[in-house]
Amino acid sequence: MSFTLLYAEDEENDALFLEIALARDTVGVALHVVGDGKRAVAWLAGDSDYADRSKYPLPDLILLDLNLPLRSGLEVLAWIRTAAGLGGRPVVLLSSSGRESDRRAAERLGADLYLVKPVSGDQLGSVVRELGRRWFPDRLKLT
Amino acid sequence: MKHVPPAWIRVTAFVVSVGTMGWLHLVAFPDTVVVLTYALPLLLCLSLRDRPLLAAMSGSFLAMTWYKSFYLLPPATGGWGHLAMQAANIAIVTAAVYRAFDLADRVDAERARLEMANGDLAAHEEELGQQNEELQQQTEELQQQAEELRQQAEELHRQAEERDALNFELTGREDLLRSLLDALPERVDERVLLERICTTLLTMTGGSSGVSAAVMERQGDDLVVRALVGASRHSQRLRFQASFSSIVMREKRAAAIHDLAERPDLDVPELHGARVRAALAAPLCWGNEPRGAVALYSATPRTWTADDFRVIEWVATKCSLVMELRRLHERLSSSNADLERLVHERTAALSATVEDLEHFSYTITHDMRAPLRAMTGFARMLIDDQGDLSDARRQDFLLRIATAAGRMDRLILDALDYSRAIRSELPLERVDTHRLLIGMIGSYPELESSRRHIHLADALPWVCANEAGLTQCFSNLLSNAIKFVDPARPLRVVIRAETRGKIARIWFEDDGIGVPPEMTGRLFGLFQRASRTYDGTGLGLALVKKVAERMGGRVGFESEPGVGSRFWLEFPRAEP
Repeated sequence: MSFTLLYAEDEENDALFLEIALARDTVGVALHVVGDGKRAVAWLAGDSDYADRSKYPLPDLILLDLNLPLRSGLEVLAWIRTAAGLGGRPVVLLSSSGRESDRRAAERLGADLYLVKPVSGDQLGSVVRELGRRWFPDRLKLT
Repeated sequence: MKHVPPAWIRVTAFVVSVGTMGWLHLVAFPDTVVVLTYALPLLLCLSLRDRPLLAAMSGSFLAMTWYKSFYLLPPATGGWGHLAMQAANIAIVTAAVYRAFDLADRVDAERARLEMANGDLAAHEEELGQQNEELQQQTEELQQQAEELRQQAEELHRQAEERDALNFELTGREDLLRSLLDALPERVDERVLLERICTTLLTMTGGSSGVSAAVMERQGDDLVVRALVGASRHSQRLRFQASFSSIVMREKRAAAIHDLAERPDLDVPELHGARVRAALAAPLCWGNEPRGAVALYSATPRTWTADDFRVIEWVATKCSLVMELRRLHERLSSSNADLERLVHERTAALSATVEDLEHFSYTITHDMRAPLRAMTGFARMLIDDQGDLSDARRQDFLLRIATAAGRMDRLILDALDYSRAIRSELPLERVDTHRLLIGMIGSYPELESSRRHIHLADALPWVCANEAGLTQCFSNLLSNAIKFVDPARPLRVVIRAETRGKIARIWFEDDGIGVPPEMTGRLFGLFQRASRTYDGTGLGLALVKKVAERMGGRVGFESEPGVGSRFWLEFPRAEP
């Protein structure tokens, strides 16, 4: 059974970078991408469009971009922490900037990890390895 | 003083006496005892008071007696008996006369002493008389001096009274000046200050009953009583033109009426329901203009003194000065408050701008890093490719790099527009929105293909805004209206206006995709994009909001997803 990762990201390229990095550095990790915060919440809540859990499974790890359309990453995080059945699920915030106030807000809302996106998209592999070490070490390819 | 007879008298007396007695005793009656004794010529010596003559005569007579007793008289009658008797007679008389001489001398001496004493007394008396005279002169002088002193004392007393009066007036002036100085700051209520002035005026002019003091100020056609002391009831408002104060204000000097019964034409205050009978007033001037008057009113006819004039003129001068200072102080305080408010507003605006810029720089950094990350990432992957990537994949990466670069360019341009909108001056002016929109729709290249789908209402209002700013707002709203559309439905944009009082609201209505409800609160925020389906930087509406607000306007929208949106801009209306 694969490790499921839900990535809420409006930057299509960043999602592609992560997908490439996962494919390159891991085995058995399924990535699902949604383009905005509203869809992320809908997916996690299993709303009508996402009710089919075989197709839209509850993720083992949730990655949230900070600046998401419709509902921001912090709003989605806050919702997750109060949602029944999701409270303890690991959530990682990804941001383009390392602004301290954002980091503190994420920690206050209960983010498990706050990561700054690398300058170059191809370096997202470092993010994948960081996530892998903490949540899916057995899925990392040996380098 | 001892009397000594001249020598010839003494010799004559001696010769006559001795001759006579000799002749009698020795010639005429040699042998008888002559009755006429020697005592008589000796007694003569009393008148002459000559001791040598007495001694000479006594001796002569003793010699003659001796000669007669022993040589002429018979022994029976003569001899020692006769000599003894005659000698005793001569001796007694001589002794008596001698004694008389002593007494006479003593009397003379006493007299002389008395005379001397009298002389001394007379001299003393004369001296006393002189002294008395001097004393009298001195007394007269003293009396004169006393009179002068009395006059001087009276003069001093008069001067003291004058000085007391002046002191009283000076004290009054000092009290008033102190009150006025205390009252210069605005913490003292102006009515309280004016009442103090009235009280001082009443005190300094004698404070008699039936007299009241008032300060009045012109307000349009009225003369309003600002303060009153000395009467509990008083008219509060007079007709300015008919007032006595208007006369002193026009003449710019103090004036008095001793009996107002002679001037029934004047509108004068009523005290306790009765028209006042006498008035004394002086003008109050500040800002070089007569603004009011300070007045004394008497319930009975009264003759105003020169002192009254002097005091009221002085009080009016000081009152004018203080009023002018207070007005200046008020203006200064108001200017200070305006300045503080302005500084506060500018500081707030500056803080808001700085905050905007900080937020802007943060978000733009955040948003610009995405295309940069994409460009760098894909470029590196292409560089690092060792033949693993398919041609299609490489093509896709190159396309993504080009797209990211284009997006980066738009972001930079929009960011420049936004930062300019934050900083640039937008002076307000009257703008004809109808003419502006017709011009834009007719000339903007990006609207060219959609021009026939944009419907402009017949009349759009003039507003108070900035034409360049309005152009920016209209342009962005129109761009959005023709961009966020459902390709399956025909494009239709309507621009119309409505007025709400002094406000004009211009609507931009479209049949586009609408705005998701989640975006309602953040649609005008920086880099907020409701959809990734449509190209955009998320700065357009933020720019509209910023520019509209900087021009004193507002922006808003109503929307129904899938049906359309109605964006509006509001500005104060302006006259065409």
